[in-house]
Amino acid sequence: MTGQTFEPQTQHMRKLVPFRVIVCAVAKDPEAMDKVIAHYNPYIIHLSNRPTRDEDGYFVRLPNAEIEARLISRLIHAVVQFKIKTRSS
Amino acid sequence: MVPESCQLEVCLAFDTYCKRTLRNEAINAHKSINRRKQIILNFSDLPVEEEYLFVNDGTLEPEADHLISGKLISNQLLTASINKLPDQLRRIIHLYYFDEFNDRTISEMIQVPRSTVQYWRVSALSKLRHDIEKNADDWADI
Repeated sequence: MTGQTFEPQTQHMRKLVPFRVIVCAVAKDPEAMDKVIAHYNPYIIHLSNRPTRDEDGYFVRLPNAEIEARLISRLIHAVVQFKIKTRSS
Repeated sequence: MVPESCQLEVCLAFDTYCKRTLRNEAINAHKSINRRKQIILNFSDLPVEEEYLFVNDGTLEPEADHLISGKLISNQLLTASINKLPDQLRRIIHLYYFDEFNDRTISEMIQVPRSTVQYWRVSALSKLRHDIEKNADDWADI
């Protein structure tokens, strides 16, 4: 592992939640939790899309508020249960 | 202090963990909504016109008549008979038949035993029946 460099690290890091935020969020810090939720918000909205009938009777995909709320609460529940494992430990 | 390479590992693991949790929960949520949709049907989703969704048989209109055992009883006659009852009995009739409480609830409301409520109700009904039978002939004979 010595010669290996993490060239794409910065690229990865941009798409990921920062390590410090993860540590704080797992320790139930509300601000960090907000950051995590904001980070996954686009994905949550994508997942909560449901075909809905609009005013003219056409089917359109709209985010369902109920699923959204359920996903957010599940995410909070999951983050708290996350165990940080490193190779050393 | 955790080394940087390990930090990246943790970040990646966390990302995967969150995404997997969200995806599984989304599948569950969609499934449960679909299941509920099979049981519950909204009025807005019904393919029929609104006017077919209810029936008005006209019994609540003031001029409505009821044909019961060969006698024509109008709502006016019924109202007049109920108004002739003593206060206590009239109150029981109102609570039981118009506000749709049961005997036990009424007994708690007016602080009397349940059997008394039942007795008052039955006696009020028999008084009403006598009164209506006496007066219904005057209105119309079919």
